[in-house]
Amino acid sequence: MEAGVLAAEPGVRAAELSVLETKLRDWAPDPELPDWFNASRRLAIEAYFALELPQRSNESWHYGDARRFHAGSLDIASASPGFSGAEYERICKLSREYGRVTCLSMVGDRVEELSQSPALSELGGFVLPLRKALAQHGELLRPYWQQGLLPAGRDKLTAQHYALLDGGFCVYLPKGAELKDDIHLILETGEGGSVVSPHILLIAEARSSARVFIHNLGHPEQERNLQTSAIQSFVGAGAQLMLTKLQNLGPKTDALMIEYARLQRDSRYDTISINLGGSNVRTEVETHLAEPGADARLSGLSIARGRQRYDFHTFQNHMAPHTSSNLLFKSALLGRARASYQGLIDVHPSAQSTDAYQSNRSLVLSPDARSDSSPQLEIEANDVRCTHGSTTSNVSRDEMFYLQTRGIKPELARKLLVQGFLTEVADRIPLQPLRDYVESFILERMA
Amino acid sequence: MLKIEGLRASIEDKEILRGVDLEIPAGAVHGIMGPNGSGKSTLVKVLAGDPAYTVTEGSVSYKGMDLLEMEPDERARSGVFLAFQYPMEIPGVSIANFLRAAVNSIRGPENELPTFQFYALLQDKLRELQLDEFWGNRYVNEGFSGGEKKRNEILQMLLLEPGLCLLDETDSGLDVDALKIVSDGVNRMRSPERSMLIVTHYMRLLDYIAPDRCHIMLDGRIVQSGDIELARRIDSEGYEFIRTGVAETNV
Repeated sequence: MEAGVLAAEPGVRAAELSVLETKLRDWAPDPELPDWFNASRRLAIEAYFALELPQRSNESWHYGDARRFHAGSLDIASASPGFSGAEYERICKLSREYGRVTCLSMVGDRVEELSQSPALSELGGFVLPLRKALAQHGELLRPYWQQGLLPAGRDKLTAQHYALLDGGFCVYLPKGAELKDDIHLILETGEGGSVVSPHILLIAEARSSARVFIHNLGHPEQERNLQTSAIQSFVGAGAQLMLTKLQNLGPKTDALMIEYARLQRDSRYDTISINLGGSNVRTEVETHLAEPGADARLSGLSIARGRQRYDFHTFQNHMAPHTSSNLLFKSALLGRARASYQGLIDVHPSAQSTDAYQSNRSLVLSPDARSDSSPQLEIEANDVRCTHGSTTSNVSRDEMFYLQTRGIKPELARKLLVQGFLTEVADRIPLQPLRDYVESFILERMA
Repeated sequence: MLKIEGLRASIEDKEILRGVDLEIPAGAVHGIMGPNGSGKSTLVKVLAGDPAYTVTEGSVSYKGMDLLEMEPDERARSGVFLAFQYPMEIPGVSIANFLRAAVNSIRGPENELPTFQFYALLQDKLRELQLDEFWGNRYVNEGFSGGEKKRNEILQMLLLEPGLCLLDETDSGLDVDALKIVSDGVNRMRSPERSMLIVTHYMRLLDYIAPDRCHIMLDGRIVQSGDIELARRIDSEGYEFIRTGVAETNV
C-alpha cells in the first residue's frame, strides 16, 4: 500500500467532500436525457455515498487496493491533453487499415468521427456517442441498460462509475444485421489529476454479427489519472459479437475496466483483453451464458513491467444446458510488475452438458516480478466437462539454450520466447494490423 | 580445426566425460559410436555449451579459440552447430522468424539478409530437403513427428552453414527415404573448410556419409579409433570385443 496519493477515506462526512463529490452532490438531472436514465444516475450517486470502499478482507480485493480506483481527490476531466502527432497518426493509420466505422471519444461528451460506414445505417443499426444514443433511442436502450451492472448489489466503485459516467458509445445491430465493416472505438483519458468514466453499450440483436475494437489510449501525463470504464454486451439468439480491447493507458493512469456480457441461445461472444499500459489496472470480465447453445471465448494478453500491477477477475457463468466457455489469460511480467488472477466457473444445477475451460499462464521474467493465480470451479450439475489450471514459470533454460545454439543472443532469444508465449493469444486477434501493432508493443516493452 | 584434450564434464555431480581426447582436422568427417550412456551426446552438448553440464577439466580449441570460455551463442556465431537429438518445441515462434533471427545473428548486424533474400534462400533449402513451401509458417517443432524434427535440424544446418557440424543421432526416427534426404544434405555440406562429428548407433547413416574416421566411446572416453571398418565390426559384433579389449589394456 502506498500512501500520499489518496486523500479521501471511506465514509467522509459532508463537510469533507472533495471537489468531485461536491459536484456529485449538486448533480441535477439532464433534461435532454430520458427520465429513467436520470433516475438511475441519481440512484448511482446515492449508492456511491452510501457504500464503503471494499476492504482487503474482501476476497476479490485480496491482491488489489480499492482506493487506487477511488476518484477521491481527483476532479472530473474537462480537457483532453491531445495526442502527440505520432500517436494520433498511428491510430488513424490503424483505423484506415481495419476500421471503417471509427470514433474517437475525447474527454467527456466530445466525439470525433474519423470515418463512417454506410453499411451500418443501411442495415438499420448505429454507432453513436452514448449521450446521443440515450437521447435519441432511450426506450430502445432502457431494457438493456437496466440489466447486469447496475450498482445495487455491487460495490462503491461500480456506483462511482455510474455516478461519474461521462461519455462512451452505443453500438446497435438490429436483427439479422451482419456488419462487414469493423467498428473501432477509441477512448481517451483526461488531463493529469482527473477521472474519466466512459461506458460502452453493445447490443447485437438476434442473428446479427459484428467485430468491435476498443482502444483505451492514454497520455504520458505527470500526475495520477483515473479511468473507470464499463462495457455491457448483449448478444441475441444466434448473434456473434467479437470484441478486442486494447488498453495502452499512460504510465500514471489507474484503470478499472468492467465488462459484462449476456449471451442468448446459440450466440457466440469472443472477447480479448489486451493490457500493455496503465499503472494499477483491474480488469473484470463476466460472461453470463443464459440460454442453451451459448458459447463464450475469453482471452487475455498482457505484458507488464516497472511497477505495473494488473489484477484480473473473470466469471464464466453457465446458467443453461449445452453452453460452452473457453478462457485463456496469459501475462508476461518484467521488472517489479505484479499480476494476479482470480477466476470462477459457475455451473448452475440445470446447466447440464456444460463444457468449460479456464487457463491462466504467467511468464515471470524477473526475480522481483510476481504472479498470483486462483482459478475456481463451482459445479452444481453432474454431466459437465470442466477443466482449469494455472502455471507460472520463467522462460525455460532448455529453450534458451536451443535458440542460443543458433547464434541468437540471450536478449533476443528471450524476446522470441516471450513473443512466442503470447502468440497463442495474439493469434486470436482477428486482424493482422492490430496483431502487428500489439507485437510491436511487446517487443518495445521487452527492450 | 577442433582439438579436445582431457575433457571431463559432469551433470549434477555425476561425471559423464572422463577425459576425452579427439582431434578433427578441417574438412574431415568423423563418426562416433558407443553404447547407451557412454557419453556421446554429452560430448556434443558440452561442445555446444549446454549449461546443464559442468566442465571440470580439459580443453577444447576450435580454430584456435578456447571454446569452453565462450557462451553457447558465441560458439554458434563462430561456426559451431549442434543438430539436437531431441530438438526443443517452441510454441508460438514460427520457423521462419526463428531462422531469420538465427541467420542474421550468425551473419552479424552489418551483413543481415534483406527479408526477401532470406525467404528466397529458405525456399531453396526447403526444396533441397523436400519440405513444403509453407514449412516456415509452422511453430518450431511443435507437434512435429520425430522425423520432421530431425529434418528441421538439418534445414537449420543448411541455412547457417556452420564450420563445425555436430550431429547427435540425427538418423534415429528417420525412415529410409528421410535418411537418404538427410544424408544427401549432409554430403552436400562437406567441404575442405568444414568439419563434422556424427554421433550414431547405426551403420546405415555412416554408409551414406562415409566418414573419414570412426571413434568408439565407452564410459566417458574414446577408447578406440579406426576407419569405417571399425564401425562395421561394431555393427555386426556389438561392443563386447571393445569392452574386452579395454579390460585387457587396463590389466
